[in-house]
Amino acid sequence: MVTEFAVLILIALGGSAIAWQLGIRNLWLSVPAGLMIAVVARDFLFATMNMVHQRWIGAFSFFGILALGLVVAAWQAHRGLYKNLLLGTSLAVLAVISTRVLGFQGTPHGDSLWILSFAHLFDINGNIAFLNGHTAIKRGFSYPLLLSLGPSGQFLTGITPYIFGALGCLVIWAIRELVGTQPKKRVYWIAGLLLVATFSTVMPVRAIYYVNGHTLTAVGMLAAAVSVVVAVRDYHLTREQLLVICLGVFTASTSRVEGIVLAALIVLPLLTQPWIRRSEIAWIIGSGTFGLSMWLSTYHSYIIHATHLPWFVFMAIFVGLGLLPALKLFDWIRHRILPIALGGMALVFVAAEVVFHNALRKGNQALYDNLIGGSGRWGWFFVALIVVLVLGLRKLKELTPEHRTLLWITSALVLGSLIVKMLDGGQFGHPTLGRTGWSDSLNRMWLQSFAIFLVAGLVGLVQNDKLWGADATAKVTK
Amino acid sequence: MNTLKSWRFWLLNLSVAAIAFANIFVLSHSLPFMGHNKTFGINRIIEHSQWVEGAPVVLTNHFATVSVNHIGDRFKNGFGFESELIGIFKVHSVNRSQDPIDIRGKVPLKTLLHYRHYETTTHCSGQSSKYCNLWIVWDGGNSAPYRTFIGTQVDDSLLLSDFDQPNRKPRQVKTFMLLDSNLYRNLIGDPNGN
Repeated sequence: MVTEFAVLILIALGGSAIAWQLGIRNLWLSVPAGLMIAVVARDFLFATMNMVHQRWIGAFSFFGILALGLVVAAWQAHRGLYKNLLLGTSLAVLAVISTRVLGFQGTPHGDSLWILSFAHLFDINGNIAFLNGHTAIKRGFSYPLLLSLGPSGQFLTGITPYIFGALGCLVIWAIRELVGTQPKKRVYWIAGLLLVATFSTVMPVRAIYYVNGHTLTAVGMLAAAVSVVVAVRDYHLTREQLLVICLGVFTASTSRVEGIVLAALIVLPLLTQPWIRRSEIAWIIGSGTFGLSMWLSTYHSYIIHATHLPWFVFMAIFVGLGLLPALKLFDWIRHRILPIALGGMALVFVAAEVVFHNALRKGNQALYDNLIGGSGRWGWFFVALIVVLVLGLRKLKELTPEHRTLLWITSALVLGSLIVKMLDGGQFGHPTLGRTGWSDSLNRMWLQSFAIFLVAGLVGLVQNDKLWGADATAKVTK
Repeated sequence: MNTLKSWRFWLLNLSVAAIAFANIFVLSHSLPFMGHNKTFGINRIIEHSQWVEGAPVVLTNHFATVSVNHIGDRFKNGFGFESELIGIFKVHSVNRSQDPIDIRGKVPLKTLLHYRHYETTTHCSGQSSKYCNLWIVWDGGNSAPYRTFIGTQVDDSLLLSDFDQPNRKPRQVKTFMLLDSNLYRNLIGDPNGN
């Protein structure tokens, strides 16, 4: 237990301290940013050491970098840093107490046991070639690497609730960034209602201890989404926002294989802006393509083998292709991609439903059973979400830029998740939309996006004056 | 501005209240997570969870060096024994070239059940399900850390995982056994003699 406390507290302290050094100083952003920095450091060090077959050094150097970051930041920041460190430490301590003292653990599930098996392999510095060509790619890279930092023979049990805590911090940060100037009564009331609607269902609570990469992906996605929305609203991308987006895209792209697709959809509204610098586009896309290709080069390299290219050539081509949208040549399409992307996805979905209507009938029923009928353990969360999103709607011209961007991202994530699931099922024949039950991968995939949906709903409701009995037109005229 | 006169405000509140009530009291739900856990070792967690892929882990939890043969092809007459887990948890050797030995009628099931230490399910190409039962059987009185297990097929039994689903009538499925080679010799004879 002592090892677990020490490791998780070091991740919390070191991550927040390095975030501070890099200019991410907001209290509520410090914990998730610190976590994402830990993800980048762990992945990069492990992948590098794996190349020279010295994986055990990866963990030692990871702890060394976190400790060094903490010492340097504490030296430079003096008193300013202590609140961030206190928040991170509190979350880490609570997380470890809940798993090691109170004995809370996630619902048993085959995917969790697979992920724990990978964590065991990393823990014993075993031969990663065992995973190559056999193991489902959707089980991820970053999350098992974090789990493997636990005591010998065990796993880091506290990291899963800590990740959920980081997601909670992100939601608070999102609310403060997006509706911080609105009347507090509105914000508290809506936040309270959404809290009740969310935590009266099983799935969001299950995510606290469920051993899988979904919540880590959600952290990356929400961090990137909020920064994108704020930048689009302000017509300006700060260095802090760029860093958070890059960290978020990297985290999402290395936690679940569909993460890079969902992250791409999230950053699209920002990449289409005429004012964004080409170097910023390159950094954002590169974070995802570099992360995913690093994962594929470390294990799951059967995808690279299929191309008959050396891993470094594959990596260079993959990252290079990702940089193409930054070229002036593609500006025309880049500035018009939002409606094209959304319309295209809608078209693909409808076409698949028509062409494969027999194959998808079972999946459609499963989708209904899981999201409305209660079989997916979401209760009526999605019914509540539809009510919330509809009541927050106004005429297109009256929507604020942040609400409009969030609605676009929400629509894109819904369509994107459905299409990703169809493609996943399509590997084995006809496309599918999953099966009835909470453990269906599409049903669990909503854990990655639900926080973004909630923030979109909250912003709409808080900003919609009609909901609060005010005449919006009169207010605008004044 | 009078919020209390806004029908949208009341619709929102009533909807959320009704949905939360339905979520908690009307719709069926299961526990979001479990408490009082004292097992943190990955090997033990896998063993306790009766995982469909867990057989290699259970064997290496109990014995230092494990060899397994007569696994066969899970898509034909054999059963699943995951190759990644064989590598990760260091099963010494696995031979899939021969199908499980059919020992139905050769030894009373009751005798074998006496030595059964673990039961789970495994992947197979059964007729009524893609899962079969798998028992792991060894002589606890023998302290040798080096063991060879032989895949065998015994009489069909009711699928274990069906008992976890209250509304499901348990199906009769093929049942395989990983039988300690020493016990095989003692109870049945030479496995290579058939």
